[in-house]
Amino acid sequence: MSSLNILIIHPYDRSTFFLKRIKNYLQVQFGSDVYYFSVKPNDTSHHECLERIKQHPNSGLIIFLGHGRTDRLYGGKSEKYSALVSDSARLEISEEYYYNENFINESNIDVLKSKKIFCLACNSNSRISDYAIQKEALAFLGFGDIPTTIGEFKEKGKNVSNDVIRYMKTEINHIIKKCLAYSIKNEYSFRNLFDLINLTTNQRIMYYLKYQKYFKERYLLTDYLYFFKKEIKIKGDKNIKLIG
Amino acid sequence: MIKRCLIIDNEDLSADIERIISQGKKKGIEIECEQFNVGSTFEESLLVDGKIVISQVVSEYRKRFKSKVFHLAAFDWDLSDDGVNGVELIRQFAHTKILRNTPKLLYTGLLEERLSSMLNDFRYKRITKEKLLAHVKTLITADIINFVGREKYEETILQHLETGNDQIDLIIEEELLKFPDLKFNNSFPSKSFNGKTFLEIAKILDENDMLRNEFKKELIQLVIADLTEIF
Repeated sequence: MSSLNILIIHPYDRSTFFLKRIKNYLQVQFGSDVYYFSVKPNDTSHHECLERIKQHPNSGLIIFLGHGRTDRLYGGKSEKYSALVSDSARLEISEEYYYNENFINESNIDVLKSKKIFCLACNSNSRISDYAIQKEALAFLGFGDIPTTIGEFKEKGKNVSNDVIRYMKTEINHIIKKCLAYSIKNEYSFRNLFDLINLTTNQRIMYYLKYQKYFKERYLLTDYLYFFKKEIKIKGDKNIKLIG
Repeated sequence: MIKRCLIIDNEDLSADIERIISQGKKKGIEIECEQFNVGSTFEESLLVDGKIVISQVVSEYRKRFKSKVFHLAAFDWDLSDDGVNGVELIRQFAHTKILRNTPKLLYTGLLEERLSSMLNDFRYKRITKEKLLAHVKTLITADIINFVGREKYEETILQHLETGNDQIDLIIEEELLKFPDLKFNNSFPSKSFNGKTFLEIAKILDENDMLRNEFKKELIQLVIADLTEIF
C-alpha cells in the first residue's frame, strides 16, 4: 500500500464523536496509511477538505463518517450551534454558531470523480450516491437510516432507553471498524466488504438474541441492526477493490 | 426421523400403506403414511352425482390435513372420473397452494397407455390443445419427482423417503408447525412478523413468495454467521 491511501473525513459534530473509534482503530491497524481530516466548523476547513479529497489518490479509499440525508452530506457543527439563540445572533458570530448543512451535494459532488467512497452517513444510499456515480465516482457504498439518538428513535415512533443507544453506537463502531480493517488487509472489493458487514451484523444479532436475554430491548436493537445491514447499497463498480 | 407420506387414490390402499411402513422400518425410516381417498364412492362427500368436486376436495383436505407437513405426496393418475385425474388434482392443489413444498409422485396402472390415450384424445379432438398443454405443464412445473407405473410406486415412495432431499421450504414449514403457538419477537424480515405466532408466520410465508424467500435467506445467513468466527 502506498502512503496515505485511506482518507477519513469526519466533520466536527458532538453527535458523531463516537465514530472516532473507527478512526482510532484504523490508525492502529494501518498507521501512516491513514489520513484523518477532522472538518472544523468553519468554511475554510470545509474548503480545505474538498481540496484534500481532490488530491487523494484514485486508488485509495475515502471514508466519510458523519451525518447525511438523501441528497447531501453534512459538514461541521459548532458546539454552540444547538443553543437557543436567534438567527441574527448566529449570523453575527457565525464562527461560534456554525453548521454546514450542505457540505457535499449535487453541485460539488464532482470532487468525488474517480474516487471510491465508503460513506457512513444516514440515507447516503439514496440520491447522493447516485449523484456521485453520475459524476463518475468509481464506487460508493452508502447506508440507510441509522438512528443513534433517543430523538431519532422517537421520530420513528420508538421510545428507547439509553442502553439501546449505547449498544447501537458500540455495534456500529465494532462492525464498521473490524470489517473495514479486515477488508483492506485482505484486498477485498466493495462487494466483499458488503458481504462481510452482513455476516458480522448477523453475528451481532445472534449474540444479542442468544446471550443478552436480560436485556429487554434486545428485539428492538436487533431489528435496527437488521435494517442497518439491509439498507446498505453499493453504487458503481461493486467489484472494484477498496484499495488499489 | 419421521417421514410423512400422503397417497391420493380412489382405491383402498390400507395393505400397500402397511407394506410401505414395514419396509421403511426395515430401512430404519419411521414412516407415517396416510391416504386421502378422492374419487371413491366411500368418500361421497367429495362427489356430486358421482363426480369429483374440486372445491370440496380442497376444503376436505384443509379440514383433515391442516397443519400437517408431508415429505412426499403420491397421486394416482386415474381417479375414476372423466373430468378430474391426478394431474388435474396436482394442478388444482398448486393453484390453491396445497402441498406446495411437498414433492409429488404421479403413478398409474397403465403408464404408456395413459400417455398414448392422452395424445390420442388430442389427436381426435376429444380434448383441446389448451387442456393437453395444461397437463404437460403441470407435469413439468409441479415438483413432480417421478411418473411411474403402479407396480413401482411403493418402491419409489420408499426410495424418495430414504434418499430424497427435503427442500428448505418444507423444513421451515415443518419447524414452524411443530410449535404453532410460539411467538416471533423480531420485526425482520417483515414488520408484520412481530408478535405473530409460528402458525401465523407459516401462513404469511405461504401467501407471499418474496417474503418467504427473504425469510429463508435470512435464516440461513443468521445461522451460518452464528456458526463462524472471523475476527
